[in-house]
Amino acid sequence: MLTRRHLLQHGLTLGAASGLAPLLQLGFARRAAAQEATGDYRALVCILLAGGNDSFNMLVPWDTGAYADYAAMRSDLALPRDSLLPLAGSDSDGRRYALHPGMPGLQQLFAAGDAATLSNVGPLVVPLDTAAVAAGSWPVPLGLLSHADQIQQWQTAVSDARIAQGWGGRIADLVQGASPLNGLSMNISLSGNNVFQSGQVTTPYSVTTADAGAVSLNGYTDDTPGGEFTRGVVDALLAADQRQLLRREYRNRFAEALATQQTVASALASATPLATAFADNDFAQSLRQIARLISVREQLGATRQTFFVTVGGWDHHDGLLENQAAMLPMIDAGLLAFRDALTELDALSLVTTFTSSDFGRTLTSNGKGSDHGWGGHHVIMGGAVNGGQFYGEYPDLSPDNPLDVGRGVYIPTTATDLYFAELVRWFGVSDSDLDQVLPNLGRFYSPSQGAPLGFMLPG
Amino acid sequence: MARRLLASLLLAGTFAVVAGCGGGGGSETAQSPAPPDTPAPGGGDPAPVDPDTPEPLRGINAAARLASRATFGMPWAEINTIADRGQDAWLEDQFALPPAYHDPVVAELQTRAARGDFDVLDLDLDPVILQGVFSRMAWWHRTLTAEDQLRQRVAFALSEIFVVSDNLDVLFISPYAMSNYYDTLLSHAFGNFRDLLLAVTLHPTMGVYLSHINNARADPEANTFPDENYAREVMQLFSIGLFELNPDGSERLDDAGQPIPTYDNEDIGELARVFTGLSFAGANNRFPSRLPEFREPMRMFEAFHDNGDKQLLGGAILAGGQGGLQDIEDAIDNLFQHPNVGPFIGRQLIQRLVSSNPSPAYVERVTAAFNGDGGAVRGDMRSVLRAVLLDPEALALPDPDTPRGKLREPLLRLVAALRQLNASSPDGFYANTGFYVQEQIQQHPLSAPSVFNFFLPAFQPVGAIADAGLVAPEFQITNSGSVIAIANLLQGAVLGDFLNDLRVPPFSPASLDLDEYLALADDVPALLDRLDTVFTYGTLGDDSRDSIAEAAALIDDTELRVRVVLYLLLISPDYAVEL
Repeated sequence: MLTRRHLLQHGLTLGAASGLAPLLQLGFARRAAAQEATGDYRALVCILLAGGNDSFNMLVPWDTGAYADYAAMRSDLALPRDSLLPLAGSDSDGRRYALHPGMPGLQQLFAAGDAATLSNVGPLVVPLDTAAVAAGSWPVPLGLLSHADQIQQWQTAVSDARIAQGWGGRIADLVQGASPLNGLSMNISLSGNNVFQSGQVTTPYSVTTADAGAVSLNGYTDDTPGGEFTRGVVDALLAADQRQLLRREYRNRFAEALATQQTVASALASATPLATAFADNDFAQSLRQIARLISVREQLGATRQTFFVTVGGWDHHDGLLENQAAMLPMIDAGLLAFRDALTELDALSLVTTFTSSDFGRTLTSNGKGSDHGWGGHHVIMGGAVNGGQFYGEYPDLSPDNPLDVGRGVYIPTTATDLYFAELVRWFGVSDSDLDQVLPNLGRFYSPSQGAPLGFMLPG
Repeated sequence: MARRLLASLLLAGTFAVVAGCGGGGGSETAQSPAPPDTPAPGGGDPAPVDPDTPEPLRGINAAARLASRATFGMPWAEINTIADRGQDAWLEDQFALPPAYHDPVVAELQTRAARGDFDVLDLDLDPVILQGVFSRMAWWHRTLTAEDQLRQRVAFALSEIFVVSDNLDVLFISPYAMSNYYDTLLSHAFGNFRDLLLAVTLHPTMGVYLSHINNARADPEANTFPDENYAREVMQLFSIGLFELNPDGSERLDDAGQPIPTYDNEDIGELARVFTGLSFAGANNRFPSRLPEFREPMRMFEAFHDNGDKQLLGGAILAGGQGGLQDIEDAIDNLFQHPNVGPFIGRQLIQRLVSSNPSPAYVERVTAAFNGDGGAVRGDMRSVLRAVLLDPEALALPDPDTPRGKLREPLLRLVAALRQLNASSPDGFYANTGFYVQEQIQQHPLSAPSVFNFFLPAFQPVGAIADAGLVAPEFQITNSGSVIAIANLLQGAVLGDFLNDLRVPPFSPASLDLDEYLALADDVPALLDRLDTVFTYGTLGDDSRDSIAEAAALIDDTELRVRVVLYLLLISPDYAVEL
């Protein structure tokens, strides 16, 4: 960048004129964490479709009777049956499903056994108790149908309290503690700060989609006298005592970012170029960067990592059909390319990718789109996924389904706690630690039951 | 997407030109005497009477701090003006200034585009897409140059509460969608909150963003229902919030110790029926319409409005058949009268302008001002702003041992630095699209990722701040990437003279005027004193100051010395966090 050139010019002038400041160290050296060096590696990739994806148009009943119920309920929001992409196989009740016409890649992944779907999942406080529902005494999640609460609960896995720590953050608290290896958090975000990856002592490390991965401070990393000068004066500034709390916290974040940036950039500089092509949009480029980071996991010393990427703009109160037709293909193509890249890296079975979203949406229309709902459908992808299967229970879309609490808003038939427990167990968290990651899981599950949902292959 | 293409085309042109421009300048270090540095006493400041009132910051530093909060940044000369007038009188001066609206800037750019002024840009671009930049350019030009700084700054704060975003393509592409919405905020910034809330509700940009435009009453045969989006967000985000509040901003609790929801889903359903029947005005005469008209409030189409009885919060009934606009006025009044509005909006204004963690007593005083306890009418924005900016807690001596203050938003940090350093363009038009800035720091006016703004008022960053039970909303966009990106933008400005991203003809590169600091270049303590006043109003920490002075001592070239000192000051935690 050109501004960097300028500093370099200045810096060189300085070096000649006045001698150089010593390179000050900041004292952010980390003790080596308890992580094993290499070998065993697993990663979770969380894709957050922010705004509430209308997933009842992503996964659609295919049997003619069920499709007719769907079409009647959705009225002007119904996708024509002959446009849908049917999936092979059927669920445990023998029912068949089809995908949104914009998702041929997922159809392919499903057929290859690399992806599965999970139907009607969402936050619950306690298991469904129809008697309690009828009596009005069944507790429901805080702020039901509200973006802020629901998007938070999908990340915290706690639906009856407002907390700031996510289940990915709690995993990191457990696995790496306060001192990650190389100072690099095992939680890496392509979408900045987020709840999912924040724990009591864990913050996500932010990377960009640029080749270097992490932004460098202009001039600071240059291997020149100017670079040495810059490091000297910036490090000295950031070593200055800060009494005030906000200033101290800001200083710490700045200094840690400078220290870690070089670790990430040098690791990524050694990455072998991927043969797999990714489209030129933020989502695809984010997945490309995740694949590159996974490819240099040994240089980073990582044995467990979570990645987080948000795709916004799913709050389709208006223009649902045209917006989904534009956006789902982007997700679809990104997933397919990511699968191909992981195959190229021989890492497909080490990485599990899953979707989340604020909520499903009303089956009924507001004349332009759909409003906020509750349960929705999701996708899990990876070599360790028992793919080509439908998990969960897709609700009956007939008008008299008691799970419909109004306007086609469905009570989830699978709690997010179970969805996440399946992933967390695969990731390697022991059964005895599950409640530290998923505090409410015990209300829905006991490890003696075996796999919570069974969409991950054993082992 | 067109926007991506546009950004890359514009920036490509930019860099081609920047590549040819020189460094920071020569060695014109005239030893002009330092301007007089005697702080003007803050004339209008009343002495504290109440013994419980904390000792206030006084004089030039108090003026500099008010400038930091109530404007987009002021250079030394303007800070002296505030000190001369006194804080109270300066606020009244600002209230009296005519608004510098953004629409006329867009109109001027449209005129210039129509007569071919921008053909030299040689962009292989549909001119319709180029229009999408004009409201952004209007924001930068007005923000950098307008006299009515308080109004502009308050409008920006309001834009982070009443959020719309040009990340919706139809709003990006319509030249007046964002500028006219911002003008609406400017227009009501010193008016009454009730009128502001109504104007926001009826603005077509909000209608598009929260989808209550073209929203029809229920149709049982088609199994369609009114859109609930605006009904929910106008309560949750724009007026009363999720839970009942005490006047000091704390949540009221029920007998079981639980917060009390302000509304439920049935209330949303009822209110959704109110916001039916609106579509574009102007030449449009049909419903629904996609014929955009963003400079007029939405028009009511009664045939598509739900004209039945509706129940509002607190049990009030809207009688059916009174007409759609009357329904909306009554529903807005119903929200406006809710006791939550004062603490809910007041606390957020404190957070946007002064401090992330105001004491309950401070919030309560602002609530009283909102409620009209001092004699003004309920919702009077001038009373609220006086209460926010002139509260004893806001005016108290900065104390590094308290968690007062707030982190500057990265965008505001950059803009403040530009204004404090007298950034200007030779042709008087500050030509910036903000694409480059947004790409670096993921923040741009009217471009939040969702209606929840760039950060939440209650965001608690992991670590010592959350452990202390405090919030720091701006930390939500502070991460390992953004802390470095904003430092790079500041570095580009003071060391690279990279101030604006439209530097190709017919536009021109802006430049800083550093003369007042160059004059102090050989007296580093005096230079740091001046900078400490203008940028940190006397709160630059001793350690930070020493480290910057040590860096300055290493640099022989005087201009470079000043620029490096500025760079270090601007990236320091002391400047990043306003106390």
